[in-house]
Amino acid sequence: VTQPVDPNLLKGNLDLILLEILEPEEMYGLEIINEAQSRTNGYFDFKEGSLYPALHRLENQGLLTAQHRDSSTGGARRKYYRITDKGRGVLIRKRLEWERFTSAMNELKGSI
Amino acid sequence: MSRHLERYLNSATQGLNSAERRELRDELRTHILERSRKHELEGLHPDDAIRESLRELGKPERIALPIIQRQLTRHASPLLLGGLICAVFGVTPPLTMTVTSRAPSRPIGAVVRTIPLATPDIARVVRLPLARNGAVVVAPIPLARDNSSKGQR
Repeated sequence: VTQPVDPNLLKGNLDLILLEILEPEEMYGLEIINEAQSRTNGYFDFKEGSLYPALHRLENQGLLTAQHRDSSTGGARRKYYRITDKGRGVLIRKRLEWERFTSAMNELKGSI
Repeated sequence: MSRHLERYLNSATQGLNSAERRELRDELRTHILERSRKHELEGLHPDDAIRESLRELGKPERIALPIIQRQLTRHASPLLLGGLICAVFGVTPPLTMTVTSRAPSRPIGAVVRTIPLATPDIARVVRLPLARNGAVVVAPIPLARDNSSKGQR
């Protein structure tokens, strides 16, 4: 069993994670949570309640856009989030930051 | 149990304007009911399924507070320009504001003091019964001051 991720690490990188998940296709809240878990074999198990304020913030910042639609399987209307061009720009920048950070950590580790 | 669900939705969206509130309520309700259906398929009683879904979603104030804090910060600038905050606190501008509650978890910042505010948007936020005692506290945080403001207090 994989040890769960440090919640602070997840919280600090939530924007990057959400933009990364939404980069290929639009999704609604619960789908995003399920996608995060399945694509990381359960490692990204974030507090569900933290998801919605973050999605609304990214929407307000223009990094995501949202559309209400009926679910394809019937049932309640869902709010689907899609990444914007501005969001893609931020994602590229955040990916670079993350790569620099992890490569610096690897340098540290290698220098010991 | 549906009353329990509605109470949760009320708390999680308290303080938002009516359009935002309706939208977030619908979004959360869809989430909770969909999660609950999954728990029911796994064998939980419908009441327990809702309860488990709410537990997974976490404390409702964790959903409402970050959104309100963002709104409050947005609304704070005109107030500051108007000098109201300076008058209340006797602090030299520029200032920024943050909001926190006296909830046991203290999710945002530290409590400094409470103030009455007249602006409708802010007043609406300040009256939020998010904390146990019904108080939401607005705290001034001075930013770096320029030389001209030094020595005035």
